[in-house]
Amino acid sequence: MSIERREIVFPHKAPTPVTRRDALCRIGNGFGMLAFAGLVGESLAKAGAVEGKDGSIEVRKLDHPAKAKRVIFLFMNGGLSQVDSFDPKPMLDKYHGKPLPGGSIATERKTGALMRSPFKFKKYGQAGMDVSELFPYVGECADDICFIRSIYTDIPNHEPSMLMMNTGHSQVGRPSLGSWLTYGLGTENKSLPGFVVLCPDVPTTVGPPLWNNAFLPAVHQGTYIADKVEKQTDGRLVGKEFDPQKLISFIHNEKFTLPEQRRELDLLEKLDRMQMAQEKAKDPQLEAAIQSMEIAYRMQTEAPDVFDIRKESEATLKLYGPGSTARGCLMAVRLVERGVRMVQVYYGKGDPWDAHVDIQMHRKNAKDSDQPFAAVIKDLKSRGLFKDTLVVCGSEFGRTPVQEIGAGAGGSQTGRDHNPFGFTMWLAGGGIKGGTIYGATDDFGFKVADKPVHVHDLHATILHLMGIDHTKLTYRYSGRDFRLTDVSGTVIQDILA
Amino acid sequence: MSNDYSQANFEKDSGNRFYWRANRRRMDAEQVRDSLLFVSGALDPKMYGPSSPLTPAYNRRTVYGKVSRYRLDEYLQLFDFPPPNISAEKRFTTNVPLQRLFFMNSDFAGQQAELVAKRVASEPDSAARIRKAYSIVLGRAPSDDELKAGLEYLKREPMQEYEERKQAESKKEAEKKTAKDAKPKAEAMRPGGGQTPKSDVMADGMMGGVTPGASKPEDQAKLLPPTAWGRYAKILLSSGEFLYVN
Repeated sequence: MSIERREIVFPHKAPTPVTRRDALCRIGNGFGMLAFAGLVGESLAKAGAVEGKDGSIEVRKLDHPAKAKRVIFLFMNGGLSQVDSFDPKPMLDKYHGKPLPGGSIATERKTGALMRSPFKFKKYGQAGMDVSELFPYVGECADDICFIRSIYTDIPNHEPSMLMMNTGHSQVGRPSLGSWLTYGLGTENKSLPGFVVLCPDVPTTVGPPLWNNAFLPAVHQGTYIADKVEKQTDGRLVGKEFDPQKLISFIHNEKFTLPEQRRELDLLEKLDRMQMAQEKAKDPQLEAAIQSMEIAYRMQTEAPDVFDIRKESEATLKLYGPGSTARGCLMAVRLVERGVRMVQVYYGKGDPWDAHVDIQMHRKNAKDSDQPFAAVIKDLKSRGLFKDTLVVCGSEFGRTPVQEIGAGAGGSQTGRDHNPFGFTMWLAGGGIKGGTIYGATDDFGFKVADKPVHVHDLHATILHLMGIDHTKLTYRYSGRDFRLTDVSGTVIQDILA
Repeated sequence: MSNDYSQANFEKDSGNRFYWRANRRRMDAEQVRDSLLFVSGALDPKMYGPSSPLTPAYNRRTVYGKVSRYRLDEYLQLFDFPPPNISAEKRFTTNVPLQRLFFMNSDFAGQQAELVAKRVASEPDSAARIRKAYSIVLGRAPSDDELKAGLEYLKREPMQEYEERKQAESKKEAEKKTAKDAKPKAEAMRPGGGQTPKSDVMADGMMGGVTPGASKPEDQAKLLPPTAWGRYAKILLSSGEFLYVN
């Protein structure tokens, strides 16, 4: 971020930097227009609010023009097997049952011989992209998708790899990708949180640290919403019991009606203003408090609305199909449509894609996910959002091309272990060259063989598409400047449209 | 340091870099909760003992609230308590709408407000009650305008509230009649209606009334019902003057 900062003479003595206060007094629309909804303290100056020549405030100058304005991250938590989905390996058929040439590679658990994929692959799109029978709907969108077949991460365990994929670090305590994005770019809708995390049930293995703001201001915390599907769905996306009011964190107070609250607020504002009038100096903090009360009031009606997918047409609901992933995907599209910066959709509680025992477990998960994932692309297109919405899809790591044989595999020996050495993720939408395959794994799909892409590189590319230079989006904490990409990361230029 | 304003100083140093006046500060999460309990008279100043989850029924100081490293209490987080899994050199002060929803809607804030209302109930008349409420919550006497605004609100509010509730009741009755034959679930579809969903690990008492499923039914049973005076006290508790230290 190129941030012009007026020099602060005694930074340690300036809990409220002069730039901010001066600036706020000059904003025509008052505090509420700021994407930060009135962060007080010094965070605004830290967040790089800069004063335009006309005295207006721009929140965050982009480092370069953005190709995407928002991100939808579809997360198959547990670990999708690349050789069974998007990275076919004919050599596995040939060497099925034989040991990996050159000896086995240590992963989390004990593994045995090479194992062929039980799933048939088919060519899709103009470029003839290989997609397995698990993802026929995604296959149909192949011309819009860039498959990166050479992602790698550091550790073959869920927790560190989930953290790496979400926060750029294997241990708890760094801000999430979504937090960095809202910190860097703000949000476009002040009535909704800037970063939303959807998961049907109490979430994934690591949980809240995956969407934590860590040392960034608390406003950048991801908002977790359990979009559980009620029992009576009748095989549809929206069952009779569905009530958006039950999903969200800013609910109507059952004890009060809106007009009652309105009168409370009116009196409160009157009293606050009386108090302010007694003081001669304008205090932006108090002004901001009044503004945020107004926003809070509005949130109560606007937020339930966005989650009310009953308002969608029958055709749209059909496009997504049934189930919690479908619902999460549709909500994600509705959220980004209303200006939410990033929405993450997790498949489910725990590590549902973790097919240690039998790779056939992927069949159900893929059936739940395939149609909704493709629907995200199609629906974004029909809403005119695809060109500037980035869709990212993948897991924390891939799976081994060899069978798992330890006790944990339950004696079936048809499952696959965790594989951090090479796996596939796909991107589509804003700024992505569709119909491309980038990178490759070795003949068996175990390790990256060509154009390796570390998670840091993926993050650098996501930030790049959002108009941010990943080396410049920093936050000073504990004596040094932190970045999402730490000290690494290279933008993958070849996949940019 | 004084919070007096000086035009001359303001012109020279609007940002108060040279400390010509005290900076206004928002209270920390613990201070907000403790202060609410203090003014309501519910604060239990007992020292020592194990920590306990923060719920609307828990009246001990916030420092005795349970802090989970895995998932920080939603209330603490909302008011900028630093994440417990990293070291924090200082605290942020944010001002986000959800904080205001906490004052507007939470069972906890409502309960403390009702207790403040109880504390002033024994005063002879409304004006005296308002004066006492100001003295308890803000530590000063109300100005004439403030007093007037309060009296006006309290005069009109109970009547309006009554009318509105009567209307809502009759509407509900009508809805019930039509829905009776159709499906019994209509009640649950009404915004804000139906049961609060039972939640699980994510339940978090202090946010009851703000976050669905946050408070336990047994906690809710202990709450005082809202009254016009309680709502007036809640407005005072929500004021910038209460929340910020000059």
